Amino acid sequence: MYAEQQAAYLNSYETGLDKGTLKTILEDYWEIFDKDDAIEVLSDLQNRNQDEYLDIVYNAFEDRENYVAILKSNLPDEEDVFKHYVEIYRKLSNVVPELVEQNVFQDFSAIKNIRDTAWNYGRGAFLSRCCYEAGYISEVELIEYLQRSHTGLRNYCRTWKEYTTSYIFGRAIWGGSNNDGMIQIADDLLNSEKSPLKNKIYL
Amino acid sequence: MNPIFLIPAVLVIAGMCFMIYMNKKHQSAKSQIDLDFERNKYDVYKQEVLAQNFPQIKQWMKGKSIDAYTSASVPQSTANKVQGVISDGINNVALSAIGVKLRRIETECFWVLSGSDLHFFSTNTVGELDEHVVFDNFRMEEATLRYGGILKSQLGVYSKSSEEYLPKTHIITFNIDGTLLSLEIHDRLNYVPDPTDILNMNKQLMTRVKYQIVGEKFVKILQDKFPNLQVA
Repeated sequence: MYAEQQAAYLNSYETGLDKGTLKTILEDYWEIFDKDDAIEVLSDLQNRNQDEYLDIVYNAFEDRENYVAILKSNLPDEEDVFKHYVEIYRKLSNVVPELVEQNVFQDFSAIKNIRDTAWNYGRGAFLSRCCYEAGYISEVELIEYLQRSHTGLRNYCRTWKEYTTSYIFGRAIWGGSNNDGMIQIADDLLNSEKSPLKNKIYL
Repeated sequence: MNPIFLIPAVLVIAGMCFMIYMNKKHQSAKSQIDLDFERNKYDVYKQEVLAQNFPQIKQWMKGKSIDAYTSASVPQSTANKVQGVISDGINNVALSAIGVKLRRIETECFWVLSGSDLHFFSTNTVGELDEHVVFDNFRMEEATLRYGGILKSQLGVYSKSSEEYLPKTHIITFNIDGTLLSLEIHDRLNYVPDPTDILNMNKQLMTRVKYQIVGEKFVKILQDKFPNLQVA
């Protein structure tokens, strides 16, 4: 999804992007200037999928009558941490009805298991290719990273349809409305004759 | 003398007679209402007024509980502030995240308390839903409340004698990640006389009373739910 958005190659380690675009993505968007930065950002995009507190936020969102008690009794007391998860709860309240209306998914139960994992793993996969091209990680490291991403992602998303849904959901949680472009990209990837995902159901 | 010159005088006299007549009817109808007794019927009136006069609120709430409701308004200062933020192109993440645009200050607005959430609804010029903003429990716990006096936008429109019908307000102020946002809570639902009831003083007054009883309890229920909203 990220690669398609950037008009990069979809089925190779190389992205096909020019050096200026790569620099913008790595340095301006992600603040990756060297190998250490690359490892830190790429690891974070994989590790954040194991956040156990997200389940509590999702449970609270499903049980709106009791959301206060669920959040207060299960989230950490530290003010900043608590506020961080309350903010995610608020974003769910804004984003979920909108995405249901746009037919991205039918209801919240479709999202509860796949979460925003594709948004994290997917961006990580594309960024790792950028890091490889910039010389921050080797080809072996890239392949290992992509394999770990694939394995990790399959714990949540089993189909490409689930993947695109999870990616759009994650992007909406991050950036709010205006996801029409990403919804169109998902549709193209799943249905276009030229798409490498055409006729592929499972990850 | 041409009798046509008598017409204005006749109209003035008729108008005065009509005013005296209506005033008497008003006093008579008012004396028949025991406000304290009527206040005991809060629960009945809350349901009745919602179903008969404000069904749109139920529709906007989409099945969520309605624990209390009343009219609301946007202070001019708040509207200016929000519009200033928007027109200056300042990316105020906090306000945009809760969807506050508040373009209009003269149209009907409502508050609904539902569980731990306070819902704010504003309408457009034809009464359709314009904005729906939800202030959740955690925003409520950080909010403050103060008495705001008689609704200022309506002062001067009415004579002193009808001041008793003007809404008194409380001003609730939310801290949206550092940006203060103030909105007004009315102590009654906004009453607009039905033209067909113009001569039915009893019905007009009784409707006003119901709107007042439903609205005036709102702040008390809000304060019971959120003790931080007690007014010193």
